[in-house]
Amino acid sequence: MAFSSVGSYVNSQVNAGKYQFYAFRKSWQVSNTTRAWYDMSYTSTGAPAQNFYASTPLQSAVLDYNKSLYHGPAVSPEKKYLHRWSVTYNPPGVNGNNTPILLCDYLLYYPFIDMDDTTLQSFTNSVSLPRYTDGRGVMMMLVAQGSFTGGESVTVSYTNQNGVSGRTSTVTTILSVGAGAIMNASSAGTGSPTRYGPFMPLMSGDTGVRSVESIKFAAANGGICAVVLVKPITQITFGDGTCFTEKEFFKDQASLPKVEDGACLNFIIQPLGNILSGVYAGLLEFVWG
Amino acid sequence: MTNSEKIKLLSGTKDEMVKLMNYLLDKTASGQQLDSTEIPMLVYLKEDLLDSQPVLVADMSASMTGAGGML
Repeated sequence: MAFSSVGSYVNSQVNAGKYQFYAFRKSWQVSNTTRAWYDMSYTSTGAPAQNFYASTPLQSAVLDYNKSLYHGPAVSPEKKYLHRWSVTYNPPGVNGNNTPILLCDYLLYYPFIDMDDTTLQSFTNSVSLPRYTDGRGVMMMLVAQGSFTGGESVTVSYTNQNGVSGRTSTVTTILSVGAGAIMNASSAGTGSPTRYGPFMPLMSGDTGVRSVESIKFAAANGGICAVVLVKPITQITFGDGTCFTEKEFFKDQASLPKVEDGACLNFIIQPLGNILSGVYAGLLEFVWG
Repeated sequence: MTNSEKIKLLSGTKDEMVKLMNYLLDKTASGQQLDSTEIPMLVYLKEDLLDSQPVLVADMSASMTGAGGML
């Protein structure tokens, strides 16, 4: 099932009670670099709780649902959508302004990768993708689990959306930023033809990642990291901390981002300046029918 | 201890994981701060070694005295 008319969409919210509000409040805990991408699930305490990718090293795992943005109960066979998203930043100031934020469904991760180990590090795939199971549209990012040196290159071997294994990501140079950073992405002043962001570039013809087999660093990069697989859901560009930035998807975009049952939602973000101790807060409103 | 050595312990036996946990606890007990890479390690060790202990099921009728008597 899905909404077949504007009337059924409105009726779900007004008469049937098929909606869910969630108020998030994310307090930034790291000193970040201008225009680098960060994984907000890692960098921020508050609601939802902070996530450290803390599980068995080099083994696939799913994120704890209790550490994601709550979107209500499972609704299958009905379908759930994001209806509205609002966000503000406090204290108001230029560092938190003009900032893109992506809402992602966090699917799978492979933690505690030793960035000083230059041998091929293989992963154990003990669990597979819980949603978007064919991998179509699923993206890969390297998230720093603490401070690191960076500056050297990395490649990741993965299985693509058609189930073909042994695919290799484009050689990417690790950024030199801090904990919670998406290390494969660029930042202000460090643009490079070998840095891409926020997701790892896939081989030509590939549209997603079903699983990850191994990772290899060309030289020691210091630190530890996790490979994280996410499905980007939608984005908002936060404007000015003196007021809320809001997106009502039906009105503003003429399409509603779909949210799967059990989705582990969280944000990735590219702050304009250092937002240490700043807070992003706002509302997400979901509707189903 | 290097990150590589810590990850080796983190990936090892329960005894090796306990060794790493003791190292991290000794570090905090001596007034030092954990570095940022040690925080997720400690979170994992806490969840694996402490929070996920198996539930002990006991037959209270056979193990406790008091009102109700002991079988």
